[in-house]
Amino acid sequence: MNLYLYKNLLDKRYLDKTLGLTQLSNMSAQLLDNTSYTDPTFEVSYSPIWKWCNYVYSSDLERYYYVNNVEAATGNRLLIHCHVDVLMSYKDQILPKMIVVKRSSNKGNYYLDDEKFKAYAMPNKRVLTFGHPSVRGFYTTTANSQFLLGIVGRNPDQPEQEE
Amino acid sequence: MAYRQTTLYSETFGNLTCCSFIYKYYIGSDLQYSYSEGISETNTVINMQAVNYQLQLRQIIPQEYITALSTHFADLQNPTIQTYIEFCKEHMYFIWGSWEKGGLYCRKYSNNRIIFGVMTGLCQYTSGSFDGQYFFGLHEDTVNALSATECKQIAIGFYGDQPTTDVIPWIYIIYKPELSNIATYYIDTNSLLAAVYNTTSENATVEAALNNYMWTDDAELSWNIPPFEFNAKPVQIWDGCGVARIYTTLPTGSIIISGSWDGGAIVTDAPAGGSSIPGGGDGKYPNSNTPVGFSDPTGGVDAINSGLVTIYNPSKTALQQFSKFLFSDITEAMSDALKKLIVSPYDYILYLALIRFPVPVEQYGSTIQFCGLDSLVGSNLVSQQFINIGTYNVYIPNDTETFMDFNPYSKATIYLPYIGYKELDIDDIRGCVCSLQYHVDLLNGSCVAELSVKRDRRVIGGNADNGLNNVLYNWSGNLFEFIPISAADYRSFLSAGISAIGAGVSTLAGALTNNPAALTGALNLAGSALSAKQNVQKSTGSSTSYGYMGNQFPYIILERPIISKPAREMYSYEDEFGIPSNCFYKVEELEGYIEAEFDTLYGNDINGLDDEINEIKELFNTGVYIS
Repeated sequence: MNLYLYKNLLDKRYLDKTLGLTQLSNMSAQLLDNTSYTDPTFEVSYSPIWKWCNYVYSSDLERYYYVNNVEAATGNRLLIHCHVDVLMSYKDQILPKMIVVKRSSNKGNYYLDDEKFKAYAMPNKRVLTFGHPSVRGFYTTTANSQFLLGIVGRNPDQPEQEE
Repeated sequence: MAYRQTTLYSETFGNLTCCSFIYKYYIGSDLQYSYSEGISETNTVINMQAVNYQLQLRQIIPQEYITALSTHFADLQNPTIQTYIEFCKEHMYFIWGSWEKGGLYCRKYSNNRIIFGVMTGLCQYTSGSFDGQYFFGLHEDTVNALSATECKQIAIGFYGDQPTTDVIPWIYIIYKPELSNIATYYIDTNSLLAAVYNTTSENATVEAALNNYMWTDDAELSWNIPPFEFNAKPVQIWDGCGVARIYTTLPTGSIIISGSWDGGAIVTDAPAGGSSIPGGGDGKYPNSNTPVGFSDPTGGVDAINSGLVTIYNPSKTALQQFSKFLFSDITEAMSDALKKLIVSPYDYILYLALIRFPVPVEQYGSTIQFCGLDSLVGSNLVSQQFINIGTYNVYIPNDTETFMDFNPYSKATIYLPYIGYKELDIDDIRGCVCSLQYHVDLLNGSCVAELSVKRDRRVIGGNADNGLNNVLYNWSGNLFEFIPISAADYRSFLSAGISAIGAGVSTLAGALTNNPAALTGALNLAGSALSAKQNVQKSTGSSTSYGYMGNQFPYIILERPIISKPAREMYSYEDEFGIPSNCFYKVEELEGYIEAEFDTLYGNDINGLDDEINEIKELFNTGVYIS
């Protein structure tokens, strides 16, 4: 089978690594016995290019792989231990999928509780004063204080309330 | 639909000023209303200063100021008028406010120019109509300084009562230049239009802003060249709005008013893609809200009308004279009458108290009647037993516009004169106008303080409520500083004071309690930073005389976390960690960092091995980057 060799600079969590891939070469390889499609080991001829290669694509398996390790083998051969990159391999099938988004860079809501927010120990404290009253308010200085004197009995000047 | 507030913007331009306002009102991306107008000011420089309008600084001019100024604004020799004018000049207000927030306008000129316009309003907003609005403005020829007119649903909530009240509201502002000319400054409330005529060449400062969360950010201020020119001779053109404008030679140019506003909630709908369904599923999610306004104990039958009790409002001199009447210069006739009627004069004196608020008085020039005897001591008569004090208003903005504005991360405490510090539920008041009113019984000084909370409708998770307009809190207290007039009085007075202190001490220990525990599993340092902090009782209450000696203005103390987010050029917290979402989206609709709820990668048609599909779901749950 044919292997396409790449140097990948992007984090494994990127769905589409195209922009981070630099193709190095391609070569034929053999899939070792007793290895799986998800964790294959390929046997290839020795080449110094494997010093830089950390990512491969198998056209036969139609999958992208991370190169976990390169091991020397007899007969001037190398064993390439890989693990499937499920995101890149199934990118086109994943993109149209509907998900319930838990966190998002561009579709989030700040009013949902977020346990990842951190805060300083010292809070912000501020005072908001009410505005002046619209009709009648307290005197802010005692210069305007008044007396009230309650006395039993009626004052003849007090108007009588109508029924 | 997104609502934002705009900010005041200003720019100085030339000696010949001309400006027009163009503003646009959007709902979502749909332009609802666009208006532009061009004006000029003859030989007047307009300086437009960019200011962030803080709603909490909004001041309401006392009614007595407005009443006096509306008719005596020209009487600059009157020290009282000067005082009132200086008060207005000290404060910079802006014309904008939402219907709920109200607002004020005051334009400050250089010292030899006085112009002020005071409008205040706070009304309720219900389904696009407006009820209970109270607005008033100053008019140069006003008879009635209070005018209430129904207005359209626009950002500017101020209006006058002339010339038309049924179409487009507008308002006058009195302009009193140094010279005797009186100019009237019009603000067209639909268009942010300002026109001044009969002005001089002094600098004038114009502030205007869009302050309403219903508006978009952008308001364009640009020149509009009229089709004709005049040789600096003012020509008044009245438009259909009843606004006078003067056109002379107009320069070209434009400036843009834009920016963001600190002082209003930003209300956003749930992102496209739907909202989460909050459980249950069969509920109807009713949103109706019954407004509960202030109570009003005034106006009915009271002790004063009973004829058995009279409350006087004597001056200090009158009180001294009355004391002399009681205890000296007693004639034989008085002595006989007193012996028949009473054992002790104190039996007929209900109370003597000091107060720090105005009371309504019925009649000037009455005299104190005691046991049927006329003391001949002049005093005002209090005309009603129950009065209202207030209404005090303040707007509580969303500080961070995140979940940290609310419980349990933020806290609010209110200080109430004569009552003390009380805890508020921050969830109740965020993004709301808080209105405070006291109802007082002048027979014994007891009071009820009611706090009403008002806010506009809010759209959350695809559901719109109908806003809030309710009294949510009330507290009781006493507004009198009782003055003991006998030894027995004094003993009970002292005892009450000691009890109040004791009550404070006994509850102090219990007041050092923790807040309820933070939400289970939540919050990191954010949760522990504030929610675990202790509540400390801030006062021992304000009973008896403590209220008299305390602050006489209410205020609210807000406490919130200071968020710590890593930030660096080219990097942002949101890009690296995302923020909570809880919505349905296709992967291809997303950008940057995402996490998916586990096993929600719907669809079984990914042509992969089982282990591979599980790994895909695991990766989406722990976080992936969509480039």
